[in-house]
Amino acid sequence: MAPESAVLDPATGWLLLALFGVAWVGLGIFWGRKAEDLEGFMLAGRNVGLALGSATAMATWVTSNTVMLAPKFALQMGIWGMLAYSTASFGLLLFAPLAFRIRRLMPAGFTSGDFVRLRYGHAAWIVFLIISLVYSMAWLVSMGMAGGIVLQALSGIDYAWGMSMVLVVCVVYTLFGGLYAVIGTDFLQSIIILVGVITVGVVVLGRVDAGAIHADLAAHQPALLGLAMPVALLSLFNNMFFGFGEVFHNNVWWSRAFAMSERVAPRAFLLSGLLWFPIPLAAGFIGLCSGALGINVPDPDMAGPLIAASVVGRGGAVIVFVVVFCSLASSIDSLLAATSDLLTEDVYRKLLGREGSDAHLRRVNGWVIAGLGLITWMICLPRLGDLVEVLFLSGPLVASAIFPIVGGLYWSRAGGRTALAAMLLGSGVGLIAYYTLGWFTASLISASVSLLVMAAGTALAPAEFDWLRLDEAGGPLAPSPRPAGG
Amino acid sequence: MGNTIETASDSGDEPSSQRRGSGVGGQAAALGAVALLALTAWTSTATGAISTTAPQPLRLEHVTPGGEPTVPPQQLPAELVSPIAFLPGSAASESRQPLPPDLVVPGVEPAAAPEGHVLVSWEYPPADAGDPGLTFEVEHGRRADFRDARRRAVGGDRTSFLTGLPEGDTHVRVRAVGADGEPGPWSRSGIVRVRYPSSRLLATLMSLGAVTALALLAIVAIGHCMQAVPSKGASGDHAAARSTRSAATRSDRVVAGQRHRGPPAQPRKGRTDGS
Repeated sequence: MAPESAVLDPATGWLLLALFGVAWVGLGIFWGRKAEDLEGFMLAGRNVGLALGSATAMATWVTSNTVMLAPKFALQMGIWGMLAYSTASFGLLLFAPLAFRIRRLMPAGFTSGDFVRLRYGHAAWIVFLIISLVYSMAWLVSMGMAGGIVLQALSGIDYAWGMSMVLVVCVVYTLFGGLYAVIGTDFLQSIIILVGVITVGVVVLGRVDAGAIHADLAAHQPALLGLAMPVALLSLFNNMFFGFGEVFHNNVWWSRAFAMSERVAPRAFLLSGLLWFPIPLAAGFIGLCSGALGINVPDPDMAGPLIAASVVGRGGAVIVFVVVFCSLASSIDSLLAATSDLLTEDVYRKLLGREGSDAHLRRVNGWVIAGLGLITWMICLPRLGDLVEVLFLSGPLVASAIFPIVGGLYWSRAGGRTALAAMLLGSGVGLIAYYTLGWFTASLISASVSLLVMAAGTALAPAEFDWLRLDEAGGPLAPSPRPAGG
Repeated sequence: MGNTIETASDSGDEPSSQRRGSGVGGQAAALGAVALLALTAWTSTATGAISTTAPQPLRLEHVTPGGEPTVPPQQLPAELVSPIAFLPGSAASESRQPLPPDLVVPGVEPAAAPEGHVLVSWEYPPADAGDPGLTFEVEHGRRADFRDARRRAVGGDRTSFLTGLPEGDTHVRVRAVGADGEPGPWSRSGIVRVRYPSSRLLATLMSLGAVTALALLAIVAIGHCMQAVPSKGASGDHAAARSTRSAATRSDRVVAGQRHRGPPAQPRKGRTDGS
């Protein structure tokens, strides 16, 4: 895209990037000073309150994909498409009781990998780590690419520079501030996102005639208003299970559960889910306006930012620019922090058996954050392929982990081999469905297969699990002495 | 861009486009909100006028950054790629009437669109592509003669995303419109073939989804209620007591800066799996 055709000039884009970039880095470093030890760095001292907890969960879940994919869903699948994207909020809502359970069972837990390792054993843990890391990298790369593309479209900033700036800012403040910085900046970013989305939504509503939009859709695209659009109906379930899988398995959400108290965590996830639910609806509505407004959509991924900027003008483009930057930052920083925790705790420390002092592990964590940022940058730079497609390809993988996680939390008789089989068979059958039936069936089928395997395996080959084994800290109620390994 | 939408029946009479434009004008939360609004107001007023120009598109699919079609030219029908159209300075390129664009997607074969949408793209002879006033119009309809077609102006874009297509075949074509408003001839027409999943497959998968979702809700609800009752939860009492003591316990376990959160991974076969 030619830079001169963007709504904002590159100078304004760079000014906004610099302003918010400096603010996030400065605030991140400032807040990060609270992290005196590794636990503070990784889990913000396990003392995050309701306001910060809700805001960080909500902001993390508003990704660049929300801003770009929700309008695309509405444009492609109409009313059901908007609702389909909003079903991702169910993941946050249903994680509320899970967070309560997690905090009860693992008061000293660090990662989602800890749970799977302790609950299901080594083999299931390895498969789980692979699923989680594949998904996390796909998410990171899709957001890095989306950042470069959107910033270029809105302001003419070169793709490589925009993408690099977003990644550098997020890496720097996560590196220095850890989860304290992530949660603090997430709070501000969630406010900006909410204000921005509401502002654009109100202005768009004031500028368009809802009746005209409906009439245009009814006349020219009646399928988008229909209740029986097959792909849209299937995507409703598919997206819901994709969302469940994303939230239930990923350390981004587990680290937040560990960072909040048993009492705060469920309420924070419930609140964040309720706050998040209308955002895709608002963003999706913008996607439905294109026909009535006579706006050509040359690239479906850009429908939302393009239409919003067109309707609201230069001011709208500024808001969209800032909202997208905040959405990217709030998700990338969380992913960097949570994935680096997983790699440091599960892979470096527990899989490779490397021990060390807090200071040593924190240094390792820092290198992992920087390394993740570098790898993401290297994958994003050539701008290869459709990374949204890659993200959806990870849908069946994460959906296969839904029932092993839920069963592992509530069923004492769920065994490790059963969970392993559920993840492998769910992923395999889901991937086959992805290529044979379509993306809109993959997560649904994966979750269903996973449920079937978990239920059958638990009924036919039950295993008894002592919940106290999950308290790896070995508190006074721990059932048996631990082998010394510290 | 000033794009308009017209139907075949009212083409040129009542374009439904709307002018777009004009701007909007304690604690950490308030600071963020105020900063955003102030920035918006500043950038809106700093330039004096509000742009009504929509951004040009990103072409991510079907056309390479160099503008080459992803479909090899040899796959295109010979009659669609008129040699004269590619000769700079030829009689055709000097004509006032724009040349017909070359529809790339849909291609020669009907394009499968199982989800009811397609990204249409086209190429234009390089000799005329530099015309700053050049725009395009896309027309699509169920009938091969386009008598029921919907026409839409797409500005200077070389792609257009069509959605909400009904099941069956949709015919698509595109033409260029010169700066003086004079349209050129239509391109060849392409076919988009929409085949939704069968009713049986839809019903099966919807049922599967509903059962799985209900099962998930039931597992979480029952599990949550059971653990809430101390006498029924095997770990409930222990966990509650442990929770209150865990902080002190953890602090005791940090000795001389060495972490003792637990052992490295000790694969214990059969430990959690009695099957």
